[in-house]
Amino acid sequence: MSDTRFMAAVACVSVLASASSHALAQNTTEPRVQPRAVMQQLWESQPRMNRLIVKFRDDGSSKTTAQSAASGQERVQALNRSVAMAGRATTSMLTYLKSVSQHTHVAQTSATMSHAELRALAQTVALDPRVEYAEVDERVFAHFVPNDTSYTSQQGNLKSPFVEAGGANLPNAWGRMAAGVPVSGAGVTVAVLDTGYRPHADLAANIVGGYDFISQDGFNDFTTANDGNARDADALDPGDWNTQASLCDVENSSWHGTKVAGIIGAVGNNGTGIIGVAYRARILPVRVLGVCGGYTSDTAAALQWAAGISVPGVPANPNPAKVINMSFGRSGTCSLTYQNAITAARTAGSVIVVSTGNEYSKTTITQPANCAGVIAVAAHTSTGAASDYTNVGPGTTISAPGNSIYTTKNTGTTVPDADSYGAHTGTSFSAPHVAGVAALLMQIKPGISPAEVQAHLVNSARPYASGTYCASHSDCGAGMLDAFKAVHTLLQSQGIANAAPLMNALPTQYVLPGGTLQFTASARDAEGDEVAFLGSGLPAGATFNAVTGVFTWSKAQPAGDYTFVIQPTDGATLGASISVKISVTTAIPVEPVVPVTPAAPVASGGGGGGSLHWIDVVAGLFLLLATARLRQTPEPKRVDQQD
Amino acid sequence: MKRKLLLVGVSALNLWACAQSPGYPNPDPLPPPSLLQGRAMTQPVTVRVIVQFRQAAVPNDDALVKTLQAQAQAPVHYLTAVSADTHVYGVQLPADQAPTATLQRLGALPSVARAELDDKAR
Repeated sequence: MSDTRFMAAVACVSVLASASSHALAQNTTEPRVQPRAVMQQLWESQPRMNRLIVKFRDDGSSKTTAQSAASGQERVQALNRSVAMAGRATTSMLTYLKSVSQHTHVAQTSATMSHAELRALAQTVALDPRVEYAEVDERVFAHFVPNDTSYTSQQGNLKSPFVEAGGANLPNAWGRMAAGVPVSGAGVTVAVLDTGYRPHADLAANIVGGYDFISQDGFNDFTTANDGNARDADALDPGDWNTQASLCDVENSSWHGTKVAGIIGAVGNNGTGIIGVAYRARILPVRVLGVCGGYTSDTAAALQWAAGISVPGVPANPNPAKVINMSFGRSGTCSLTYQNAITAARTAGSVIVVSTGNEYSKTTITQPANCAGVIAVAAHTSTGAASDYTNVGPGTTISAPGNSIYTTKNTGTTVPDADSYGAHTGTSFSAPHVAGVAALLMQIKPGISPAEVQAHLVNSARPYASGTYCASHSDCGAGMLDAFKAVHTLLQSQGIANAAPLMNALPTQYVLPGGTLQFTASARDAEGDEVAFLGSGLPAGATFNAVTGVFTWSKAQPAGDYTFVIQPTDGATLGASISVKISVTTAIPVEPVVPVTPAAPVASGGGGGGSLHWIDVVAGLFLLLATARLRQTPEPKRVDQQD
Repeated sequence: MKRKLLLVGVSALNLWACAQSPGYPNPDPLPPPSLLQGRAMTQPVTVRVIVQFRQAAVPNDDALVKTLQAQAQAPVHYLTAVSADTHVYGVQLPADQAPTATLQRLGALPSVARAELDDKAR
């Protein structure tokens, strides 16, 4: 090994040691670039709290568990005197609650406080020389990550736009509560007007009794129905395969209704398969499509029945639907029969969601999507571009994921066989995303009007990806479906705030010219939301992962100081940004840039808080040697930083 | 001429009577009459027609169906309901005959608000 390489290696060791030391110190501090007013407002919106974690300094004694608890009670009690002596108002007394370890105990205030008040108290307590540190016992919320086995690998369509640009952004929506129940469509009935359903194991628990609306084609002719009879209470899908080329394309059974129903309401968090958008909604299967499609008349009758309107000759619907999905259509202007039924169903309070069709048209959409009073849904890809096949045009309301949507189906090519799953493409599969989100809104605000649901969906839609067809064409509707934003805007209208995520501070990052730098941004969120990171000022050649927060610069150069700004977001609310200083330099400081929280001198010496760690000293000596050596080489030229 | 007037009068009376009848019986389709017998025609097909009446009707009432048949000039049978005032009928037409004229004739009945072809969507 040459001298230069040896010195560089030594310097790297020094940098790593120093940086880790700084990071440890910095992570205990608050974010540095938080506007005070914003922070104040944020904390004031938090629930009131009453717990502090206090770690006392080791007094050298060895205690049993019982002795430790007794000691903890005494020590916490003693804190009240020092708090009072510090001049802090003692309206709230500290009492011992429990022990975390021999020297670490949880203290409870007699009255609840805001987060800011409790943090101030922690700072006062920490001034006591017997206390090593004190911090707020933060409440932690678990992220809701469904345990459905195919969720992670197959359902990018439901994830945040940071994971998949076209994603419908469900995770943080599912993390909200409505009247103590997770936002999941619970209590809401969604009608699926389609080919009927198969009692798929990942769907059956959410199915409620539907109806088969397919009437005879002609006198004693049940070709379309394919079940040997006309309208009845059996909404099971017998298959819609066709062998007569004179009727329509010869094709296998589609299990279309089971696919659509799975997207809306597959049972969630059941450790198997997939999760539906509204995974606790009730699915009302209404059979209107059979061999070669379905009649306008049967659909119109079914639409009204689904909404709770009586239809002659059909028993009353015991489960009126507040959301109705129709993933089918045909060319032409809106039939009066469709329009009359849609108007009646909407007047009855139902949201009607319809797919725009797959004819590659960029000027017209199919009926009934082009009828007044429906939410017409086009499709986009995982990258946020309009799907090539999707119809868009006047009447288009919004777009949702429509490519390779993984859902429930059946293996039968004619009659039903076994349950299965598969990925399918088309606006038939984009509309159910919107229907599912409409169900989430219906759960949050029972009695919400169809117009209000539509307004929340439209107003919360994300813009189409820049440079794509729909980014520059107004007939594509409001944008891409965003479940979390829709849920957030509705909750906000009810006075329920969404706390912005808070960045954890990051120390100045030092790296030798040409060296590798990697650090990870992290944030916390009061609601336990998934947090993503927006980065700006990325140095040329560096990468930043918005989901993991990992910054990587594999060959940091040229030398100079850089500022990388990171802003956290939960997908609906942006948090305050922090600026991370990156120094590409051969002169890496040994002392921490931001001192560790001051602590009283410790007689025993060694690695006490606040004092330099021995490795810093050793590394610093090596660094001095390395610096002296490297200064003999020309200084690298600096170029402006790039985004 | 007198016979035509008589036929129109009877049809109108039938429709009026039907419109006054309360309740909606279950669909009970009449077998299509053999009005086409004796005519040279290609194989007949059933065309589904949505008929919206001006007010609620008893859709499968014999007299009403006969009136519709007479107006359509083709066999008509009741198929199913869409709503209280809207019902579906099967009209047997020669396969090579467009239904446009039939729809216009049915729509011209005083008791009928509109008649629309019952197309399929998929």
